[in-house]
Amino acid sequence: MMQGCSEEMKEKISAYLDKECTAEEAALVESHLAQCKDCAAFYRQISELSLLTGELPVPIPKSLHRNIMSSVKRQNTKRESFKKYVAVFAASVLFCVMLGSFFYTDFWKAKIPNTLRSADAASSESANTAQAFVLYAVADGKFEMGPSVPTADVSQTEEAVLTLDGEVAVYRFQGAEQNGTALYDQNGALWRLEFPSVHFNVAYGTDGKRYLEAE
Amino acid sequence: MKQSEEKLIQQAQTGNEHAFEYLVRLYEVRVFSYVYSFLQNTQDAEEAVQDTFVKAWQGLPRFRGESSFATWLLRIARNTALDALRQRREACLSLYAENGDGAYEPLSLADETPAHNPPAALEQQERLETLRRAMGLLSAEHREILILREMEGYDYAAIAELLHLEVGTVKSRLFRAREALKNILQSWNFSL
Repeated sequence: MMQGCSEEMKEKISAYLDKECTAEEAALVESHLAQCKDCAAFYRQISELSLLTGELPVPIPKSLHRNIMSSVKRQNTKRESFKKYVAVFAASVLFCVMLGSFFYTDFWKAKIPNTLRSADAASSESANTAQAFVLYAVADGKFEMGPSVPTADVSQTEEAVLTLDGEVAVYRFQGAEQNGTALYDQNGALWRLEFPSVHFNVAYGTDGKRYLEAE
Repeated sequence: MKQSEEKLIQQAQTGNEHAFEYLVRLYEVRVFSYVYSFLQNTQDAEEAVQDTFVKAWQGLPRFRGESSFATWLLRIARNTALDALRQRREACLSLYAENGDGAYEPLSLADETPAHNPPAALEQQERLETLRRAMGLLSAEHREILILREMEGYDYAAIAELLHLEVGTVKSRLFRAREALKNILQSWNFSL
């Protein structure tokens, strides 16, 4: 079939069926169909196929519309839930930020006794719960509690070592040693040290460091 | 685009679910037919159609009318169906369409039973069934373009826009699809 007729002609016939030809091409196809029996048969066949294909039944599910709208509504519900979740999350973050800023100082107060910026490890080994800190005098009657290894930002005009073991505090200064009591607040943060010859109150600088103020 | 459809789209874009439901009613059968041409399975096609409309609902605020709504929607449907095909991994190897599980009824032959059909109608039903099987043997590419042209009634320019093809490619692909379908049917002694 269609031997001798080019594919180009067959394409044109197919396009002619779909009314997708120019007037010139249509005239050419009509002229060819009038002369070529094979191509005329091809045209009849694809015309018949075109009609039949258009009648092909599609098994539309009865529940199609209902199921589509259920899916859309489910999606809406998810979206609303997500919006609510985002709103609750944002509110929670805001609340935490506000709470955090309110308790900022107390938070660090509670944290410092445990970390206390590199406590003296050698002294700490003397007792399981003992903590030792080097006190650096930074002003009259004030000592900064800091690491035993001096750092550049800490004044070293005077050095003392404080060892804490629960409520037992040992204060060594210029070769002398005093035993005293460490007082903690309800959060477990050190707030006062009492020795026979000196009392220290814990203070926190705006730089976040802890200072002992000698009374 | 018809005026009323344009209004429905605008309303749906603002979140009006009722307006969107009207659009669903307008296009659900067309989308289903198109998706079914890929998947050849009613259940898979129904799921793909649901996904298509959910995606359309979500994406509607971004629809700018650069193509027609139908083309935009069918493009979503096409991508969704292709995704489903990839998942199934039997895309182009799907040789036969399903025989139906009784849960659905055909669109144009609904409520017709052979016992009540006159002989001519019965013969026509048989011819359509044979044609459906032959369509199932075509490549997905050929099946798709035939569905778009013969069942959806798209012209070449619209098909080209939807499939991102040149009009000349649409023309030659459609011809080849017709010839392939004709050859299958003739090998079964199907009279044309």
